[in-house]
Amino acid sequence: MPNDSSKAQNFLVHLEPLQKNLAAYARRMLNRSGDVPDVLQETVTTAFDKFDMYAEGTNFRAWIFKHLNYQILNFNRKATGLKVFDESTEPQTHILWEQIVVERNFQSLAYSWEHIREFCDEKLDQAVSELPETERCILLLRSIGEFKYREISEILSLPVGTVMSYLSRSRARLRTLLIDDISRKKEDRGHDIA
Amino acid sequence: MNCKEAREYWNLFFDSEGDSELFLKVNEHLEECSPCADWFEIQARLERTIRTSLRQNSTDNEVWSAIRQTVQAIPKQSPSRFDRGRSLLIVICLLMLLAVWRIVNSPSSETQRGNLNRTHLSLTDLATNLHDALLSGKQDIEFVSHSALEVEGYLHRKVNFPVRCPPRRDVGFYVDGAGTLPFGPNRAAYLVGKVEGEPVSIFILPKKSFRDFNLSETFYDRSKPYSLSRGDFELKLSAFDRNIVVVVGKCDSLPLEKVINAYGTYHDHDRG
Repeated sequence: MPNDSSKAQNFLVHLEPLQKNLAAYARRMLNRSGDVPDVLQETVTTAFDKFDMYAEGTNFRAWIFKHLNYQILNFNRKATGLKVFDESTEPQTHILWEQIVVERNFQSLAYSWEHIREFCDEKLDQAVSELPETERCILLLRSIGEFKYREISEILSLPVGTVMSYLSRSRARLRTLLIDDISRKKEDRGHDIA
Repeated sequence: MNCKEAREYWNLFFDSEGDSELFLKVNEHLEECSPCADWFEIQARLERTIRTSLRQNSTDNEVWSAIRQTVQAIPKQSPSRFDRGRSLLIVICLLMLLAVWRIVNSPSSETQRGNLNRTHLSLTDLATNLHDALLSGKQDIEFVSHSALEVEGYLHRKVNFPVRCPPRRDVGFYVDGAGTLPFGPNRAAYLVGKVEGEPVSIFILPKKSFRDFNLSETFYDRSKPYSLSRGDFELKLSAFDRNIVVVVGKCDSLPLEKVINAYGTYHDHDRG
């Protein structure tokens, strides 16, 4: 039976490569950024307490993110007093209309990488925080956690089709916000939209 | 596949979620249609920019330091007399089971573990040295190409053992060329390319090479690749279908793991 120090050491070895992504995910998901240290602390403490149930060689990353997500839901629920996930109806599986809407101005992105970087530096945080909770969660699990669709569906207990739809929708929303922002800046600076 | 269809599948393509037939069809379309290739590139670049920005984190190192100290300081309760008795009983049962297992099985597991350590070392040392030779130019790249389909076709013509499709750009591997070279007692196929701007080599051997490196086949019977470090290099080792695959580079572990997991995920082109 492993002693305490080897269990702690083993747990920390698994945890260390994921610290940056766990913190980035928590920061983006929490309604109050001041809760990040507490959420991380609770997550790690709870996960370590259950580490004996973790099977070596299985997906530690998904396992710890599931714990983190649970803590985030608790903290957000306490902060707002509301249910975290949307109660909206199941999303459409085809949301091509959003892609068609942005297609017209999409080519402007090809020549606006400076604007894109400015947007990412200044406005991406707010844009992501304005996404519906479920879409934000899935987008961040994909972008920060680099989870596959099946893993995200297991972490969130959602069907894979729903994960795909929400992810596609959230990306389309961000692109729309980005293109609108670029268009506004160009108008302000007196340029024509391409 | 037309342009509308190809663009519908962009999310699956970018996230490497589709099946191998889908990737083949999309790649074929992109090779023929430069507007779609540009569109895919813009989308991908935008997503990578957003992703990089989202991953930026300003959490204080002191926060993590405090959390780690908490883990190390979590006390464990002293076992009661009952717990100690139960533990002792479990240990006795395990020892008896081990004795039975040893009687039934042979040879000595210590010898086999020693062999594994030594030959595992030689396989990875070979891979590291050859990667270094390819990088420095001491070993010329036989066939220079940036097309995954072309290098696959070249290797199929050159090697006399099954070789599957190389990793794709969507997992971050940008192929520069391929060839074959002596690899210990065998001949291996190799691919060279870049992952996150860093040179990476992929060595592909027939699975029967297990015997030449004195390894048990069950040693590689895992769902996850093995990870090792040799000096500045990260290595991933895996067995897939009828190959041993070794990936070497100076990148982080996760990008290399994506690359090795992507090997062979197109529909099978290998020879009989």
